[in-house]
Amino acid sequence: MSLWMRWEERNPMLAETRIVLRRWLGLKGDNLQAKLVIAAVCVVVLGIIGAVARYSFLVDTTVAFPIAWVLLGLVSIITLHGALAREREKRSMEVLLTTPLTAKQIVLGKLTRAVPAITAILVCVPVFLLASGLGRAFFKENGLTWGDNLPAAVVMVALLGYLVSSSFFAMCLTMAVSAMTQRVAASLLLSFALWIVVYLIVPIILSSIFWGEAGISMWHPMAAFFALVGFSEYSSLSSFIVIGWQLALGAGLLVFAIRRMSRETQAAGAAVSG
Amino acid sequence: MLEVLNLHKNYGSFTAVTDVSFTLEPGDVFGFIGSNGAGKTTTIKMLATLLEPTHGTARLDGFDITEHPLEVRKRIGYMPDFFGLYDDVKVWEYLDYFSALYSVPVKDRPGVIDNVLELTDLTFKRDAMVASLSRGMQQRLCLARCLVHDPTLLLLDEPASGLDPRARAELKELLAELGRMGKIILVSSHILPELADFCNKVGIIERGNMLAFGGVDEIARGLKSIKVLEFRVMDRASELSMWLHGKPNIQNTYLMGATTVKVDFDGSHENQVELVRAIVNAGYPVMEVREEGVDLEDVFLNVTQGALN
Repeated sequence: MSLWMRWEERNPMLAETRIVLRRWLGLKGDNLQAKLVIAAVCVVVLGIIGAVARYSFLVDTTVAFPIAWVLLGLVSIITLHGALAREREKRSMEVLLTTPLTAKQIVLGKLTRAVPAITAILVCVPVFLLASGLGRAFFKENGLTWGDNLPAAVVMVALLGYLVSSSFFAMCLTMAVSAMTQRVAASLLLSFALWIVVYLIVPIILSSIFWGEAGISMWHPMAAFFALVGFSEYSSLSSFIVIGWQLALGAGLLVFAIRRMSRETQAAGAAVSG
Repeated sequence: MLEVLNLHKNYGSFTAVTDVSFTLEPGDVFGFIGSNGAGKTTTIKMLATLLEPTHGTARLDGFDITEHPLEVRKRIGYMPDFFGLYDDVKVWEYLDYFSALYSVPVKDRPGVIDNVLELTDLTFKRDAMVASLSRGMQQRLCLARCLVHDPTLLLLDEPASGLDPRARAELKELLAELGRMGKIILVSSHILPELADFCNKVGIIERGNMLAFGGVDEIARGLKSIKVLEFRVMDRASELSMWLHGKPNIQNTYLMGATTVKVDFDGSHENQVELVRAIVNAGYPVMEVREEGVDLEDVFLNVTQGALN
């Protein structure tokens, strides 16, 4: 039995991700169109990587990070906004609730739906860097300075950790919103709005209050991010603090979503009629 | 075995279901009848562990719906009054998904899916998209989904609503078959005749009160209902009609042509025997005595009238 099936025995909700994955990646089946789209995207990405490899002096590879960062947030929201809201809108939630699944299994299982797309994007990032001659050399060539002279490996871990934790946070945020809303469209808009508030509005307000103070980067994911890629003198260590913040907040949102769902799985607060 | 014990549900000050109790054995097909808003859906949702009873409980195979909801969920198949299907998947994917959610072992899944598809007569739609199915087929797919984990209790809320007569007949056949397989089936409806022919037990609910429970005949007998007796005589029908007028337990007499008299009779079976004997002794040339069949609709109207007045 495959590793996936063993996971699925622990959390049957993973079946949803399996079915989606099989649809998009399976060799069997007849959804040729979807697979052509994937193939086309792969060709384009490979082409870009090739171009970066060949003409790295023309392309500022640091743009890979903001692009990846925005993509990760959007992909999280797009794949997860309907996770629970769609079940309510289609009125299939009741059926799901009569299956022997716990709220935790439902929420965590549905969270995995975003993982394949996010993994695909994350994999592209190091590939970009490798293509342009990665490592310390890359950072030195681009004239980036690191206040604390950390080894490139640590910087890489910080960068990827920042991207992973940002997407985790976006996933959890979307899941929490989806757990509260009845409509798919409402869930999409609200998730997107909150994501913008957290990453844009709040940092702007905080930076206007704390501008110039050293503590700001803890509150200011984008500032820490730009610090990482060399736009300010903030140390890359501060990004680890931001990673911690994002993971903790995400976990908190996840707990909230599970609580919200378990109100329904334990029957007390289920929507009623007739 | 399903034991329902004083199941009660309040929404604020409104009482939706009042102390409903009944017991069902494996193989029972139970018709749960009530008008819209009578409390059928609330009762079914409580049994499906979707709603917490205000007090009272129910036990399925010894598992309490409030204390062990997860154990109960493994043993029920619930079909809501709307289908709630996912329409962007194929028929077999839909069933595969639910057999996974019910932790059907991986190696058994293909067999289980083939079986339920065959039982619900959907094998030829195995690779079709759910959205492309007709309403009757979606209905059967919904039922197939309820069966993947081989539940002991099926809760079907208004399964026949919106189906054409043919699909309805097929559904009846399917439910009768499932009853023979030893499952407990609870079917709710507000259309009575559609339940009469395949349910062996019937419960009538009105304004949250279970007014009657038992076999269809049993309920009819337990009621002090008025039945119609029809006497066919060779002649002297009008004379018989006069003679019957005013006899005990007879409410009205109607002369129906030259040879037939109908009476509204509210006595017991013993009274009925006596009446027939008296008519024969009085010398009327009786050819036939017929009791008009009690139909479920009449029973229902009779039973619920009391509650409404």
